[in-house]
This record gives sequence, C-alpha cells and structure tokens, in this order.
Amino acid sequence: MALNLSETQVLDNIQILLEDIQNEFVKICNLVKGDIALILDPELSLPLSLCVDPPLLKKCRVTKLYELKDQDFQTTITKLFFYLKPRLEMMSLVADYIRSQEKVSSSCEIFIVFVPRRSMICEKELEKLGVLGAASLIEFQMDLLPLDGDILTLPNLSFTRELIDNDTSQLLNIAKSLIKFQVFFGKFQTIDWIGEYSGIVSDILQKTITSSFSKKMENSKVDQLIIFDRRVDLLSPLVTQLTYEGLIDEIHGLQNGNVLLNPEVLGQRGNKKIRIPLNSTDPIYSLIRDKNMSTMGEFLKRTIKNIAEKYGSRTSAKTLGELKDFVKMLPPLQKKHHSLGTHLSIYQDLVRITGGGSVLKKRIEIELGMLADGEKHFDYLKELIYREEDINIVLRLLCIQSIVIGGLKNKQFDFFRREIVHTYGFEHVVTLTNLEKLGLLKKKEGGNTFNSLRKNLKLFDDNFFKTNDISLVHSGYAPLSIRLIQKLFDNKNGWKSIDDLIKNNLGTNYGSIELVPKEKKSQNSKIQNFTKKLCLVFFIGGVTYAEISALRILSQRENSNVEFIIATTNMLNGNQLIRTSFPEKEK
Amino acid sequence: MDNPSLTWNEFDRYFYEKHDFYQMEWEDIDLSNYIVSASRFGGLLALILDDSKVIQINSVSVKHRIFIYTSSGVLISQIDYGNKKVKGVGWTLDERLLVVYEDCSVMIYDIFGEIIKTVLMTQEKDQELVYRTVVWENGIVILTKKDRLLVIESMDDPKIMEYTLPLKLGAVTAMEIILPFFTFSGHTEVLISTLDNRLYILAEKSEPLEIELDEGIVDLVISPTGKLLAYYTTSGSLYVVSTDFEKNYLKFNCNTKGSPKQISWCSGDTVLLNFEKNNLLLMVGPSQSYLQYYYYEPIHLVTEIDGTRIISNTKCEFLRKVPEVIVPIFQLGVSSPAAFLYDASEAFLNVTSKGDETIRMILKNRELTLAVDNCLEAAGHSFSLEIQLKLMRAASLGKTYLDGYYHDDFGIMAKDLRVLNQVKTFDIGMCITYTQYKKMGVGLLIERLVNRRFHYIALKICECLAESKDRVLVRWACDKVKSSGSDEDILNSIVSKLGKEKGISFASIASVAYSEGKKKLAIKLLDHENSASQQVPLLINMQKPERALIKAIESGKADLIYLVLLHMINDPDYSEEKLFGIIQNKKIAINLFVKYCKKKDPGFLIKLYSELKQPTKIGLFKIVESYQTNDFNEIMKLRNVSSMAFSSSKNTFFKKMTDENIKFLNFQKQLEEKTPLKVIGHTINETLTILIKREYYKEAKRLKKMFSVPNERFWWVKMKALASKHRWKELFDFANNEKSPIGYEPFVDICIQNSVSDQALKYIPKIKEPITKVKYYLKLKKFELAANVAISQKDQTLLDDIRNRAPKNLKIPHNI
Repeated sequence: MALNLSETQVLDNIQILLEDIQNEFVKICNLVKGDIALILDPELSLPLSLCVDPPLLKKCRVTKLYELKDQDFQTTITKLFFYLKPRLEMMSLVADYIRSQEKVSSSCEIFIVFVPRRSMICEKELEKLGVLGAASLIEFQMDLLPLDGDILTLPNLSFTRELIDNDTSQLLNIAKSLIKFQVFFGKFQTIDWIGEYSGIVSDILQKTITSSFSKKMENSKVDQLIIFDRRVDLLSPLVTQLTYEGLIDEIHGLQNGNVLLNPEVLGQRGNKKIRIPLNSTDPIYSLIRDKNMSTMGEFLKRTIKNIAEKYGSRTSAKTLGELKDFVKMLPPLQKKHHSLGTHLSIYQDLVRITGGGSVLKKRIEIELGMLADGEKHFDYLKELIYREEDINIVLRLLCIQSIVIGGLKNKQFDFFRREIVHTYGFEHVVTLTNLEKLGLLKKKEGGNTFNSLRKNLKLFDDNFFKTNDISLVHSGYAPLSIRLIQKLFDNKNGWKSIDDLIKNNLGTNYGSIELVPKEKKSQNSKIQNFTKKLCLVFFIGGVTYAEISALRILSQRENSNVEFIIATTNMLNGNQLIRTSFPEKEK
Repeated sequence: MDNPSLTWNEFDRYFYEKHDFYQMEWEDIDLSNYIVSASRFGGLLALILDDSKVIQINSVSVKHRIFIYTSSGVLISQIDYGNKKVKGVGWTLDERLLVVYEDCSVMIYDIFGEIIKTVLMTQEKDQELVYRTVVWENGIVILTKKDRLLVIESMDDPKIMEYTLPLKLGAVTAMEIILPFFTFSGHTEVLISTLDNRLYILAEKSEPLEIELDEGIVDLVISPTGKLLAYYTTSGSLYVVSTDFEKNYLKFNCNTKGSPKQISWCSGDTVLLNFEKNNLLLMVGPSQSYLQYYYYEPIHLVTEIDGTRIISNTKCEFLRKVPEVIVPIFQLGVSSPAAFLYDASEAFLNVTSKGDETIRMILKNRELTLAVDNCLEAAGHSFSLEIQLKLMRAASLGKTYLDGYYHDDFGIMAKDLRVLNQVKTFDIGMCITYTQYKKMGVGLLIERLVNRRFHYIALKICECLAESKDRVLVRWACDKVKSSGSDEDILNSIVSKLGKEKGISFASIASVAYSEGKKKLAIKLLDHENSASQQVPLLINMQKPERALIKAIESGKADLIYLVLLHMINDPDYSEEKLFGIIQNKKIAINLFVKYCKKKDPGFLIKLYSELKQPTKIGLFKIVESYQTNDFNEIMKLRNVSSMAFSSSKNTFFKKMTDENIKFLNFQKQLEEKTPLKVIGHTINETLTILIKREYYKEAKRLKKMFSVPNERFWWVKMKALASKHRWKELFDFANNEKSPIGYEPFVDICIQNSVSDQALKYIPKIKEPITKVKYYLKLKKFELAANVAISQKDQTLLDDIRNRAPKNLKIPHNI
C-alpha cells in the first residue's frame, strides 16, 4: 500500500499513528482493574482530546475526569492516573492531590503518567515532596498525531516559547517522534534541513538511522524529510492569512481542527458557541480551504449551481435506472448541501468583516503595500496605537514594517517602543525585548536584507490569480518558508543555488543528507516512477494554515511530482507568535 | 541398557519413574538437623540448622550459618549471619537468597554471602517479631506475633502491604500463599489455617474470607499451577480441593500415625506426603490410588513444575510422571510410529535390512514426520545419555527419508541437550529437566551460571545457542574488576576481551570498579562507554561534574544535563563560583539552568546573570517578577533593581523607560493619596482616561506634561474618554478649542459608533477631504448634504452616484 497515491490514502495510513497511541492509552488503563479517574495537566486537555474520545474513555473504565488545579480534591475512585507534562511547577499540586486522596482511602493505586517522557527533575521534586513512593511512574509517548489527512502535530509540545529562550531541550523529543514515524512508514531516503534547530534534529536522526534501524524499515514510504526551523522565517506567520481556512483561523481561531462560532454567524440564535469541525472529511471544505477569499464567491456560486442541477435531475429522471442513480447520489449530495450551507454562512460573515470600507481591509492593504514595495506606514501604525487597537495587531504590523525596511531608524524605534509601553503597559518592555531577540523588531543597522530576498525569491507576485502561484495565500505575498521549500523542487541544485541568500541574507545554515545509497534509490525510483514522491515537511516551532495551503498548491501544480505531509510542533498564527513574546506570567 | 520402561511404576493410569540425579558429594550431613530450602528448576540448596531440635552439635562453626550447596551436594559457600534468628529462607529465580529474620528484617544475599539489599518490614521501634513467614521467589508474607499480616510482592520494588486479619485469630497451624498471577485480584492471597477448624483467605483491601471445616488443618500446599489446594487434617485425611473451594477432588485417609513432615505436589495432580517418622513417602493420586516408597533416612521434597526432587543424606532423586511422548516408544506391547522408527534405527546399527523396510512403512503411512518429532522430543525428556543418543540417532535417520524436513529442530535439540548435560555434571550440579529448561528460559540459566561465576561455560552456552554474550561478558568484567591485580592489567584484559563487542555496558563495569575503590580504573573504563545515560550518573558519583556535564550536553538529553546541574546545586561541596565556572560557555546548560531557576530558585538566577555579566536580563526578570505582586513597595523595590541593572548594562532606553515608570508609579501613588481615584496598575493611557472621565483636568495636564504624552495621543485619549461618558458638548468644545492634530474623522467615527448622528454631523464640515465628507454623509444617509459637497466640488459623477444611492423621493439635483 503506497502512501502517495491520493489524499484519502494518506489519511488511511496516517491513522496508524493515532491507533498506536490509543492502544498505548488502553494498555496503561489496563494496568488496573476497576473504575479509573484521570487527572489531567490542564495543558494536556486539548492534546489528549486529539486521540482520546469519550467512547474510548468509557471502554477504558474512566468514569471521572479532572483537571489538575489549585483546589480541594477528593474522589471515591481508588485508581488514579495523573497525566502530566513534565512541568516542575505542577508537582506540588500533584503531591497535594495524592496526600488528600490518601486521607480518604489508604488503598489507592496511583499512577503518574508523564507525557511524552519521564523527567528526572520532576521525579526528584516528587521525591522531595514525599509522594514518589505512593505512585508508580510511567510514560505515555504521545507523539505525532494526525490533525487532518495531511497534517501531523506533536500536541504535547508547545515549542513557541523555545524559539525565544533558545531552549534546545525539546529537540530530542522531536527527533524521537520522527524516529517513531519511520518505524511505521520506513526510512527517509533524504533529509534536507534548514536552520540551527533543524540541523540538531537532523544530526540525531542521522545517528540513530545509521545505528539502530531494522531491515523492515528499509521499505520507505516517505521519500524525503524536510526540517524547517521556524526562526528561518518568522515573517510569514505575521502576515494576515487570506485563504478561507487561514482567515477563519485569524478571525475565529482554529483549535485541533475545530472552530467555535457565535450562533449568529450561522444564522442561529442562542448564546452557546457552536463547534464546527473543519477538515478534509468535509467535502466542500476540502475544496475551498486553500482558496483565496476573493475567488471564493465565484467558486461557491458554481458549487451551488452544480448541486442544484443534480437535485434537479430528479425531475428529469424518467426511467427506473435514472431514478435509482439519483437516489444513490442523495446521501453525499445532502452532506454536501448541509456543508455548503454552513460555509456560505461563514463566508458571508468573513466578507462582512473583510469587505470594502472595513478596518481589516484597510489594514490588509497597508500590509500588502509594505510587503510589495517596502512602503512606510508610520502614520497608520501610530494611529493603530492611538486607537488602542489590539496589541497583537499593532505589533504584527510594526514587525512587518521593521522587517521590510531593514529595521527602524533610531528615533522611530524609540518612539514606537515608548508609545507601546505607555499605551499597553510597562510590562511590554519585556515583549519588545523578546521581539528583538526573535529579530522581528530591530533598529536599522546596515543594509536591507529583505529587498534582495523579495527579488530573488519572488516573494511578491500580484499575478497570483492567473499563475495559481502560492502567493495567493496572502493575496500577493508568497510565504518565504514555502518559497524556500519550493526551491528544493524547482532547482536541481536545491538550496545550493541560493547558498549566498540563505547564509548571508537569512543568516542561517542548511544541509542535505542522503540516507539511502544511490544504487538502492534508483531501484526504488524505478518502482515509483508513476507515483508522486512523498515528502514530509516538519516545522519546528509551528506552521500557519496559509503555509499549509501553499504547500498543497505546490503539489497541485501541473508539473509537480511531489505530495506533502506536514508535521509541526504546533499550529501557529501571527497573534500566537506575538503572544509568545509576552512576559511569562507563571511561577 | 535395558528398556527404560522397566523402572516405571504404573500408577493411576500413568507411569511414574524415579531417577537418580546424584550421589551426594557432601559427607556427614544429616538432613534431620537442618531446615532445607531449595531453589526451583534444579537449583541450589540452602541448609540451616534447625533450632527446634535439641541436638548436640560438636562444632560451633555450624551455628549462625547458612550453608549453600548444589543439588549434587557440593558446598559453594557459608553465610555467617551473626546472632539473629532466622525465621524463613527462600530463593529468588536468579538464585539470590532471601532470609527473613525474627526481628522482621529481610536480607537478600548473593550466593557468596554479599548483602544485596535489606528491607525492614516494620518500624524498628515497634519491636515486632515474626511468628510465621512464607518466602517465595520474589516476595514475602510475614505474620507477626502482634497479629499483623505483612506482604511484599516484589523484592525489586519492596512495597509493604498490610492485609486485614480476622478479629479473633485462633492458633495458627499452617500458612500458605497463592501467587499474584493466579488470583483474580492480581495480588497475593494468603491462606491461614487455625486450630479451631477454620481456614481464612486473606487478600489485599478486602475483609478476610472465613471457611469453617469439619476438622482442623495440619498442613496445606498450593499446587504449582495455583489451581489446587492439598491439605492434611488432624484426623489423618488428605483433601484436594480447587482453590476457589468450589470443587472437592479427593478425600483420602492415610491411615498413618502422626502428621507428614512435608506435603508436596508431584507432576500435576498427584500429592506426596513425607511421613519421615514412618520412613514412608506416600504418593496419592486423584482416584484414591496410592504408592508407597520407603526411605530409611530423612528426606526433603522440592516441588518442581514437572515432578518432585527428593533430597536425602545420600542422594538427589527426581520423581516424575513419565512424559507422554516417551511412553509409547518404550512401553512394552505398545507400538507407535516413533517406536517403529526407534527400533528401525537400532536395526540399522545391526546392519539388517529390516530397518529400511520399517521406515518406508512408516513413511507410507505418512507418520514419519510425527515419528521423528516424537523421537526428538523424547530425547529431550530422557535422562540417560545412552537413550538420548539412540533417540537422536533414530530422529536423524528418520529425517533423511523426509523431503523438506525442517532440520533446525534437530539442531536446536542437539544444542539444548548439550547444554543440559553440561550443567548437569556434578560440579555445576544443576539438575534441570527439559520441561524446566523450556519454562525457565536460557536467560535465567545463564544468569544462574554467571551468579555462580561459571563465566566460561555461560559464554560457551551463549555462543552455542547464539544468544547475546553482553551480559556474561559484563559480569565477567565486574568480577575481574574485583580481583586483585594492577589497574592496568585489569583494564587491558577487559578491553581486549570486550572492546570489540557491541552494546557492552562499560558503565556498569566502571561502577563496580568505583565501589571497589578503584577510581582511576573506573574513569578509564567509563571512557569506553557509549551511552551517555550510563556514563553521566557515574561520573557524577565519581565527583567529575564537568566531565559529566560535557557528556550530558553531547547526548542532548535535558534530563542528563539537569541531573548534573541539580547535583551541583544540592551538593554543598560546589560553591556557586565553582558551579558558574563549570557551566560558563555551555549554552544549553545555562538555558536549562535558567528555566529551572525561573520556577524554583529566582535568587540563584540573579546570581547567575550577574556572574554571566547579563544585567539586562536581571532587569527584565525583575520586571516580570514585579507583575506577580500587588505590594506597591515591593514593586518599587524591584523597579529600582531593574533601573540599576539597565544602567549598568548601558541600555539607555530601558533605563529611561524604567525611571519614567518609577516616576509614574510615584505620581499614581500621590494621586491615590490626594484623590479617591484608584489608578495603580493602570497604564499611562488608562490613567489619563480615568482622570478625564472623572474631570481631574489639572492632573491630566500634569500627567501629559510629565511624561511628554504626544498631543495626538492625548487628543485620542481625551476624545474617547469624553465620548464614553457621552459628554458630547464638552467633546465639541474640545474639538473647536484648537485645531485637531488628529483630524475630525475620528470624532465622526466615535459619534457614529455611539449612534449619535446629530453629533457626528457637527464634525463633518470640519473634514478637509470632500470625498471623505461625502462618505460620511452617505453613511448617515444625508444625501442632500452629500450632494451639496459634490456640487460645490463641481463633481458631476459624484453627484450622479449620490443620486443613484438616494431614495427616489428625495430631490437630488441632476446637474451642478
């Protein structure tokens, strides 16, 4: 079974990863007999919901579910499973829970399940708190999980903070997840990496691949791995996503492939938000998710007409056979019909928000102006601050401005920083420092590196409608990240052809590793001549929906012979990126 | 050799045989003076003097000692345990000796008497004494004299559980356990019989189950499969029941005076009773059949999975049900394919043609594969070398007639037999049957050999069976390290033997060297270790933190790095300077250290930052910290630290912002003192807003000036503040007072937002751009006004556009 035939098969195979993790969960629950209470690290609720659903919980005799919080805790259930990220600060809470539970019943069976891996410092802390002996410690290696047919995430890792802190401690876990991936799908034949973190992960992979891989894994289903360090391109996440999916994420926020909408968006009443799953199993959504908002209207109209015609065929159906065909068509048609209604509502709402005369439209125009020609819009930025616009929005645009003009002049730099601190609070001194650390905001020193990037990599293309270029995901701006990946396929020499650009303008490094000897590869490629090459792109530090759309567009180009699976530590958008630079409010 | 079936006893539809393993090597041992404890799978014997026997022992050296013998009676070691009183002895599967002392302490020894582990079952202050104990392969049950029942299920992870005993526990006659993997609860269950005709079943976290019987139990034994219970009663009857007490299988009256010294299971459902005083070993089968063996010396019974080992002063024997595969080959008057093959093979040796005909006959009947397989298996189960050889020969001959026979089976059996016969020699003394060997596994056999320090044989067995040699080599090296000799010689001999092997844990060898006090040797050995997880902890123990840290960083494992860091933090020997000195220039270590300190030890973090000369980070960290408190003075204190830090890092902008913030906080403080306003915690903009809303204009102005708020921002803030209070007149005055630096569109916007279109209209004329004016007029549906603008601008298209949008009843002029 080849992975690389169609999108549905990509999904089928990827499901193995989910099943494996679910089996692991069942195994852990089966360590005890009788009813079980789960106590979750709040940061794990969402990730766990990706793989553990209510029926599975029921099957595993989980009758109670708690979040680990600073509160009184008691339960009558005597089998307790704590699911924890190895976060040092949570251990004292765990100790409190265990102690109070021991008062209730002396015969508890307590398991502390570390996700994804045990941590020595947490264990030491538990020991110090005197509860290590009361519990058994285990690991739940929740690694790459499918978010959609072609998207995998590492839900237990939040890697964004690490971008600022230069924290490499999670890279080993990332590498381990990729090793596990290969256990299921075979060895990668080549690895291309860009950025420091990617290099480290690639190193670990190379070491393990040469030392401990079984023959079984020789049969690789995924030809290529590309590892992308988010810090190579932090600009693209800041740019407003203008695909249908991207815009939903910008406006409403997508979580685990779901969106929560106010009922009025869908023309319904009530106060409770409505959860809509958005993924490739929705027949309409999979068609429109990657489309630019401005072409959506036309597309939706056509689809409506198409469905109406099919419904209409009932009246023209005369023979019994024709009627039968019509009836056969009904269930998928109804599903489409329903889905179409939902998307029309969401689309109309988005049009209202982004339409002519709207604040957002103006902002997008300004943003595109900056990206296209390096226009300066200081007055507009100033006004945003004076209007006390959302700080995320202000900082996103300010950072874009800073990048495209190669940094702000001294006076402007101080002026904006001061206005932001006065308007949004003194603590944002820290935020500004972090943005500087990330290179998103800077004082003008030396030349403008962005200009040559834009020119050489064609980061701006007005003609995207005609050319079906990836720049359509931002209405003109082509994400730098994806342009770089595109180079690997468009140019025979790959990144070597832009060596200078990567090393000097981006100030980073790259590398390429052949893991399968040439002669073997040629054998394999003979077999694979007729199918598309399958490529896993791993984003360390997050990827946006627009970037994923851009990759899909790349693989759908006429002469393309590659299909992408996207793996990421987390999904990312501009607001989230900005927020990670806020001061940590934890202790 | 005669046909082996001649020694068989037919019993209860089956055949039983007794095989002599060894004539005991020991001399002058009278088992009646000793308590014997044997390790399963033909393993070692531990002998300890029976205190309850009042006998004259001439030699002092026998007291307070445990003697360890092989099953062939070769003395391996003596363990001197001092003045304690032993209450129970048992063996772990890998032949560590478990000894329970009367004071509730439990010790695990290796066979050479080295203490591996000590576990205290009760607090010392309680001064509890052991009344009875049961020791099994990995666990212990203790009944104390204060009537507490304590259970440990795994000595590897000794968690002590206490089971609830019945309120009134009569005098205990016997105690036995059902192993965890046989019980429904998954935990050990304990059976206790008492003099008052009761049997209790005790399990973790449950009330005792009480069974009342017609007569008292003297002794009871659970079968090796955990399914059956045999007990002997005061009236001299043997009962066999299922362990759930649902089924009674047997009641047998032994008609023998006195109680048996020992009850044992033998090959499944047969029970052996050792009436030592009557010189009788009684075998009782499920259908009331019985067999009597007479012994004129004391014996000890060892239950094995496929029979019973019988140890006497002179012999080591094995009593078992003859394996079913052997029976039809040798049983007289019965013929089977395997028997034919066996006979044919014998005929071949005698060079008669009969053999060939016989085999072709079997082949024709399509029974040759079965015959070969049976001969092979029977060879495995046979004790006699000669019979083994004959059976193997028969199998070998048979398989030459078969196309596509899977030859590996033959090779495997040949190797297995070589191994079994080798370890059976009396100097090793492991009398393991083929069934036991398959059950225990090669791993355990090798472990036992290595524990006995038979490294060479263990290694040869590994080679013969193509098993990994790593463990054996490491254990050899560990013993080598302990031996005398120069470090260099030891290292050379270890490296020359092990250096080329993959996956050898040099760390465990180094660890032994270290604990033996050979530190230099340990460090040299550690250099050969490939796994950082093994290397690092040991380097820490050896007080080589910097080396450990480097290795940890190379591995990329955060846990290992933390291991080193935490060790240095907690170890008083490492001063801060020393610690900082070590982690300096190690970026990853610093990052992790910072992460840890932020959560656990902020004070240390500041020290680190100043050591690393990063005052800006101190300043920023103090800012973050200040947002976790509401105490004004505390905030000011932190702010001052930040200010100083920024000034020493020459970060003028941050310094300025921080000083300004200090000034601002003071301003707010004064404001709160003078006025009823609550402003602390608010930004400059928010404070301005509050002041304007509450009409403290003077203070607002002062604030604006003090912090040089740009005019434009001030206008925005004031405009929004007034609008939010719906002070429209005031807003209009404000807008007219001087020329707006922000234009008038914001004023229109804010009025429209607040749905006061009459107010909005007031500002539109002030807007410069005619087209913007029109836009707003249209938004407010003032089409005539919009038209006027178009007319004054002489813009015909604009006018037409306006007319098109206007309702039909409005009279918009057609031309300018």
